Amino acid sequence: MTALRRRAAIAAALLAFAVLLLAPAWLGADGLHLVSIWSVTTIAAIGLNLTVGFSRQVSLAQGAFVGIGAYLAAVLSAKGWPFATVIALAGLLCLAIALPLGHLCQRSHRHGLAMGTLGFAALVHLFLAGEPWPPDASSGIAGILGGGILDGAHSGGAGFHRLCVLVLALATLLVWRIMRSPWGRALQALRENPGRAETLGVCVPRYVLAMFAIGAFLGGVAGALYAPLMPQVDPSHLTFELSVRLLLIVVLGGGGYLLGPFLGAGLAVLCTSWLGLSDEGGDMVLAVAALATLALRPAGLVALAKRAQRPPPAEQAP
Amino acid sequence: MTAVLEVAELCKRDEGFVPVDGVSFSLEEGEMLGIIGPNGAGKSTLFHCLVGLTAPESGEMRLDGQSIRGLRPSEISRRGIGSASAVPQVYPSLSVRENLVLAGQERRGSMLGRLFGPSDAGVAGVAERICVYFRLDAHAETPAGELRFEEQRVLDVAMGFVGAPRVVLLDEPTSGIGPAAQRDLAERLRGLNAEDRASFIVIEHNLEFALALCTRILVLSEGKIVAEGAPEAVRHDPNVIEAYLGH
Repeated sequence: MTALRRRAAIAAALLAFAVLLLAPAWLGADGLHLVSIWSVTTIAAIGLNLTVGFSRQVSLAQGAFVGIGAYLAAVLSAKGWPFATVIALAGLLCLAIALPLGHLCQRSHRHGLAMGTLGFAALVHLFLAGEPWPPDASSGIAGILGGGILDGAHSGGAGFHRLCVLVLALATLLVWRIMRSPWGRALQALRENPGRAETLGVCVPRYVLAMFAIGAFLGGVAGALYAPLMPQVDPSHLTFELSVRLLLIVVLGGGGYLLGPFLGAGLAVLCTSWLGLSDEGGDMVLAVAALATLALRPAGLVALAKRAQRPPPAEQAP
Repeated sequence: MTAVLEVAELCKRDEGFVPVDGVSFSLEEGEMLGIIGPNGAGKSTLFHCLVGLTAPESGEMRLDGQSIRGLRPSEISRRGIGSASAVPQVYPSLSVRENLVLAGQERRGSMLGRLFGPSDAGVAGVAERICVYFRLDAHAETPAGELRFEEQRVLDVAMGFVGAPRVVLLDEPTSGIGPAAQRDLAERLRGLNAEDRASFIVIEHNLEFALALCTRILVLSEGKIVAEGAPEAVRHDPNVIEAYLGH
């Protein structure tokens, strides 16, 4: 990317976030609520993209991390903990779980991460569904109500909307920073030729683990933000199906691209909200769209956007 | 003189590998060692053991007195073994400069340091010097995939030397490149040895290249070292003639 194009991209990103922050001035409560849900879904998908897109590994645990974050937020908010602390704790708890989980998963098998996270997601699902514990969770937890930033969060409160957009901006900044650092180069090396990356000193499992853990942190943060957006939190709905939905979102948007999760999550939110589809109906549309993407344009929606902005190729010199 | 690399009784006889059967040798600081042998002698198996891509069944490998056997390739690389394999493995979409920075960045600092530090990890200067030394500076911004094969070979070898490794292992550096490029490469390698006292091992099927460049030669045949000595002595050794003619 040339310096000029990079500056243009940064300017466009800043403008987009400014517009999102100012959205309460021109968007109604329903619209704000929708944009908040899109922001939170995007944060979770950005986290998954670190593993699926940037490290070329499959994780089926991202929905479980979102579920854990949502559950922790519901429990701690009910006890009156400040919400900023709750968000940070949700992220850190998921990070602390992901480090040993990712380490153990990668020890023996090439597809260890995919299989291990599948098992982990199933386990979290059972726990959050109230089996065997806690006994009163099976019907879900009453939504988070509170003053201050949480005021009217599940019905399109402007303060909470701004918080979601702000966290989304920070998550984007974090990933942008990673990609611009030597990590970005090492990750490209391990995607394109892991054997050569190793002989050049790139410890592949350590990079994969770091990206998985940072992704889990973002999943937990997204979960904590998701809980107040719902009138009723049933974290068991936020585990396995959500893992699959987030995978579809990343594949559809364009794995390995910073912009991919934004586009994929946008389509997912459109499917369930504006088209008036149920979650299952929305997932079906996403699944079909993801299949079509893999068949026609593996780089996802990002590739369509790039094609639109790029001038037609110059004539080949004879 | 002190041994930088010591290999003792190294064995690899698993199915699927040309066997290596009890190989022992050492490399002194600033030495240019050639390991030659006909096809099927076990040269590539030995290379893969030394860089950590395959695990030997028995024997020992020490770098500066510390055992490196059983370590990951990335750990062996960070401890100071640079390498270039028989098929050049440059990153086609990265520029020549980026390939060189990549080759040096993991030898500097910690992982967290690399996340928060400068995007070149502080190795841009070193990479630039290697780039100029191997005469790749005209193509510094070119994606490596657009280079001619001979230039990719030179870049791959150059990547082995970024970040001041203790030893560089070169597997068949002349395969697929013409005589003029081979002479250039030998001249660059000799210069690095004279200026920086770079120590390296050239593992070669190409007898003439190794005999002209290296100061000491080991001859590998059927997984064992059958001769050792100065290039001229090795050239006339009946064991060597037998090993090459017998195949």
